[in-house]
Amino acid sequence: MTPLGWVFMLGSAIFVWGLTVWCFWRVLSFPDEPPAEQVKEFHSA
Amino acid sequence: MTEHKQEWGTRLGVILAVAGSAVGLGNFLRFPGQAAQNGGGAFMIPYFCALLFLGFPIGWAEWAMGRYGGQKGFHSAPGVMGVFGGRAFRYLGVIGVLIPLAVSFYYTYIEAWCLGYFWHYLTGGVGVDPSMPIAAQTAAASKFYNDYTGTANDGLLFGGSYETFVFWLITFAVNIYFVFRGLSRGIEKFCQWAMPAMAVCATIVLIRVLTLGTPDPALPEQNVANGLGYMWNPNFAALANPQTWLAAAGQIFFSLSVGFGVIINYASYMKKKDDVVLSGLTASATNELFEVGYGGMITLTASFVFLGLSGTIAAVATGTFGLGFVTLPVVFAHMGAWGNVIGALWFFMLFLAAITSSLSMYQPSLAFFQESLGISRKAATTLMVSICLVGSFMVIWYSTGGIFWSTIDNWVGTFLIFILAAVQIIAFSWVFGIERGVREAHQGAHIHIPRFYRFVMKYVTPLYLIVVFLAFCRSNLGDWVRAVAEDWRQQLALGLVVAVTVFLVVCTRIGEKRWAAAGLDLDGKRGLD
Repeated sequence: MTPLGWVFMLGSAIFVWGLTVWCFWRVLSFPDEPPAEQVKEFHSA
Repeated sequence: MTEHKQEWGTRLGVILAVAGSAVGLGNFLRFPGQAAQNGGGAFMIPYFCALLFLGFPIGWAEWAMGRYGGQKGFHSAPGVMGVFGGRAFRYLGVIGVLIPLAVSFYYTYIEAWCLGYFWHYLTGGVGVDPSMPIAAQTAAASKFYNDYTGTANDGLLFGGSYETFVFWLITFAVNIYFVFRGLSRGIEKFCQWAMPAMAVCATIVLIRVLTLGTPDPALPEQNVANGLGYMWNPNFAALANPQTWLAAAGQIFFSLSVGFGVIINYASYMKKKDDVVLSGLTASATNELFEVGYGGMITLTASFVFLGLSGTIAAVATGTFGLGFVTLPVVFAHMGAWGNVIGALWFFMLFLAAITSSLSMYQPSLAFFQESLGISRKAATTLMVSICLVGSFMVIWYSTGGIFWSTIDNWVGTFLIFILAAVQIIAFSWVFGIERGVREAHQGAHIHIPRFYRFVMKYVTPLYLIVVFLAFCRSNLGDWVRAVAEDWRQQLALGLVVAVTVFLVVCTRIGEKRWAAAGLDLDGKRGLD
């Protein structure tokens, strides 16, 4: 494997792992109902 | 409008269900072959471009359309798309029911192969002797595959060992059982268990593959690092070839299950203020994790370590099924005591990937029959199962060369997906209006769609899609039409598709009258309360 091969492999793996972990962290850190002010903001728009 | 009130239990549940729908055999078998043949690591540049400009935008549009249509009382693509674009889009929405229904005819059959191979690895393997020459091993694995899938003759599966047919019956029954139990008690519960189980299986197989080292000291170049290099070493010259960009866009497109009719249906059961932006992104990211993080590391690396460069190139040339069902059994045979364990885990993982996808193929037509004909869930299930039995029996009976099911895959599982995705993104960005669409998507959203995506969704994505579609047609359409003209099995397969389409159009017409009589906002003339 060439150094560039490692760069592409690790870069791709870090991107997909990072994105997935970040997304699940955000999903699990919010309650099922949306923040009240966001709803208010939308309705007033 | 119907007797039931289906709902998702949790936000995580719907995300895993959509991700499960997207993650399938292509993540583990098609992606590595496409990457290796189209520039290796360099393939990831057009691949991630397609993800950003094609996959994410169409996915977000589908999630937002589904939830909006659900608030209007519609759960099927014709109903939802009518709300966004009126009558013409309602009838184009029939494609969103046809695709998952027709694809399910052959998908459960392929799913049954995975279950059958899993069973064989649990009970001793598929008869590949590693002491024989590689060519003889490949021939043995090939014979097992051909016999198992009935490619030699029509009707072989009903006149031979019956085993594949029995596994298909089990697979089909399990699918219908979970779909009939409903969204939260059936599909969601299953996916919440199956997705983590799939990740565990994939992780064990990945660790085993990455720790193979150099199995044969006499062949030191056949090691894990070189195996990864075969897949990931970049060939930048490939970027100058339009075929590379077409392959990357096609891979993203089919892998994410956008334009399939499933996301619209699943999202229609979400509540008005449930997040769709983060949920859509998470489902897509999960699919990418299985595709790049697992599929990109396991298949070709294992093949390279045991079969070498020439063997792996030959394996990739055999395509998705050759790689998965012929090459990998040869690879597992070389793993010694671990071989059958890893083989069983691998095919169980493929079975889970397949069943989480097939579960999603039944719900859209079930919802459609309920809301168009005004019948109970039980009656809709009976109708759907009857259609699926006819379609699947034809797929299993006309098994020669896999021609019958490949024809449905080409015309419905590939060609029509482009059409539906294009119709959806146009309905969302142009007919409904991009500002209004994004505002609807942002309702209850935990993250916002970046502002530049308004431009992307309105101009870049449709244009990207049209270019890819035209290039795809230029490469394939002539051959496909000629093949249909010359082969009666292909004509029969298309006849089946046309018959189902006509039936769905009639159902839509019936539904249209019922929805209008019930005072529903079927053309989307009124806003939401």
